[in-house]
Amino acid sequence: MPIDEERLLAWVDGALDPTAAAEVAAAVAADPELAALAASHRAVAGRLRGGFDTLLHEPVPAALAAAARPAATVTDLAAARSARDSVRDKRLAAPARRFRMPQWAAIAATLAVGIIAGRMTGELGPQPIVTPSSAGLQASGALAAALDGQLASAPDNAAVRVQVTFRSRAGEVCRSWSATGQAGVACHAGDRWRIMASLATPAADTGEYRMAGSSDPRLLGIIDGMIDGEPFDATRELQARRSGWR
Amino acid sequence: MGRNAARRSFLPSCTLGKPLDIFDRELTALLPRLRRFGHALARSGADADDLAQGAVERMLRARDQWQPGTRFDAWAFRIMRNLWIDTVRARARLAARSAPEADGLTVGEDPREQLEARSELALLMRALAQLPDEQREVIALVTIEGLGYAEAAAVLELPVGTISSRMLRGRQALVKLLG
Repeated sequence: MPIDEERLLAWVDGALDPTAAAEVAAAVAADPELAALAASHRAVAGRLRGGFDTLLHEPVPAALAAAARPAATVTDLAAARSARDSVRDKRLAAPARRFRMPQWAAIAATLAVGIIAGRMTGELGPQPIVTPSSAGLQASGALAAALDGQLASAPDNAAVRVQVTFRSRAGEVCRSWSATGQAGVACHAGDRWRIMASLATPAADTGEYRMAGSSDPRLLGIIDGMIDGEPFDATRELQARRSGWR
Repeated sequence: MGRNAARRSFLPSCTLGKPLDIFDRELTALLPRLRRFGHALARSGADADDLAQGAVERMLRARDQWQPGTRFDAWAFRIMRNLWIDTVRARARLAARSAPEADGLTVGEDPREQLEARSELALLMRALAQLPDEQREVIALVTIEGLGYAEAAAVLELPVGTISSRMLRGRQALVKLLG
């Protein structure tokens, strides 16, 4: 049976079922002209894939990442939660009122992502790094330890990396962090670190997730919305650690 | 008591949020591929990113229409492709009314275009841009995004035979342009 070019191309693209593919393969093996044609199609396909694949390794532009931020959902969740809180438990609702809505929205967004990602990451140890409390989500385990003790100058191989330390407009010392698959911002209140935002970051097989934390436009946008003045430099960061992040 | 109270209000939020969070994670994970698909369709990197952004906005508005358990990428590509067609048609109408000079006005203003001009990607985008839209979208879905013929047929709402004939004409043209 003669092989037309349409079928040949479908074979090159792996779009034929095994029987049909074997038939084309046999015809190609027996016909140098057909083999050359297949090779030229395969070369073009490979070049297209190679060229366009470079886009997968570029950072996603900030505007596009921001557009994907699920503001609508989060507001629904936050609204649902605060409505439930005010009815069921006034003790829970009271601290909630101190936050602006977007912060609660960010907290609501962390519920699934933060907890699930926290349980999945191996190198962070057996304990979850985010746990619920009556005052919202707070850092625990390896995350709490890093926020308490780690400076931005710490070596790169830590399970949790702390990047930016700054004072929020609410007057609290806050720090951005990243770990495998997730990143976020936590603020020091009382003697705890309250999670203000948490994001899922691409689970890169290249170890690039560490970069994702410090350069993720979503995270920078969150910090930008919270920060009062400039981020701390190394000296201020050290001073803040000495004074217990107050 | 405080701990129990926290758990009571915490768990329902998780349950309530679950399908939505799957959507958000799928969408965030797909962004690099949406950019790639956009670059295969559009004529410049800036247009491609605008297209991806517009498509993301449409997806968020239509998020209830995606069924968890079905392919998110195919759903997203369909929305993005439809937006692209809308944009192409709107531009064609605009171009028909205005003077042809509009075409050259924005060229070179975007630094990314100058960068692209030297790259392999730019060369490939220019080659793709010479194909008719209906061939370009098939190549973007199958060759660049890796969908099967049947999956591409579902995204474009066309018979598989049409996919494979458009594929052939487009790829023959590319062999000539790039070979």
